[in-house]
Amino acid sequence: MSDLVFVASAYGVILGVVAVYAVTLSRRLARARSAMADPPPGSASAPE
Amino acid sequence: MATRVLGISALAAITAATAVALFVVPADLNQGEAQRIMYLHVAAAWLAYLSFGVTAAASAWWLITRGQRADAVALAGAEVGVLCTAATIWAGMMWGRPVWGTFWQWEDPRLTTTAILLASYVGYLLIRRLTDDPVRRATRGAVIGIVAAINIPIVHFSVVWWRGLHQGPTFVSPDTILNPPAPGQFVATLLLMLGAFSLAWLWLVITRYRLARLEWAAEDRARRGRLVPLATAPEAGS
Repeated sequence: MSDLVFVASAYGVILGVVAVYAVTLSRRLARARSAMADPPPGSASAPE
Repeated sequence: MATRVLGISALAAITAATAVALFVVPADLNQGEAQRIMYLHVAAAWLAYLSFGVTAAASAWWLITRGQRADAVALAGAEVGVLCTAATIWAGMMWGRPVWGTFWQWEDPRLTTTAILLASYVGYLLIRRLTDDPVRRATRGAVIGIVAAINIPIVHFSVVWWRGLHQGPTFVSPDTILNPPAPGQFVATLLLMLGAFSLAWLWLVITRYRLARLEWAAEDRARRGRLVPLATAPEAGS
């Protein structure tokens, strides 16, 4: 049983890291999309 | 929408494959429970090869076309490949401790060449951060992405060319793929895990690719934003 716990914990570390990476990528992508949706800096104060 | 479906499918497939690997297939007679780590180890290793192969191909594509898409694909492949290689090494270490009696052995060609592979692509990611010039960054990355890929066949055939602690390849030729020297349920579980992680790999590469394209577009916009005020600034003394 303890051997299986060891193996499961090895799986857990890898799956956890992959999950963290996937969530981080999703958040960065969402942030990048919202930043690109905003008007570029200076565009609101264009010369009249 | 399709990417979201892919992500959910990957999550479901990995959950199912992990449950099968841990609780459904029997433990190996000789290696015991530790053998269950092999399903993850082998799948991660194959996907690491695929990732770096994608990076090398996209790097060549960049050098020929100088297209942003090529650089984004190369970066996505390298980053996901580093993740897969780290997973391969971690799983191998966790398997090696109970079976070999050691986590690591530097004298083993497969282990050492895999560590070099990981280090070279971590270097690829670090070197990309050394410059803000996107063209220079992509070109430097492309050269490293192609040169580092030379190590892929060396890693794979290291167990054939040299003697070491790591066992030889289980699936080395079409004959052994069709008639594998392992029980059918072990092979089926390995293929299930490979399929599940391939879905996750595809989702990660697509997501990282999209992020890279947006980052490049944001850099372009920021550069234009800096240039516009300079171009329209009143001249000194006027």
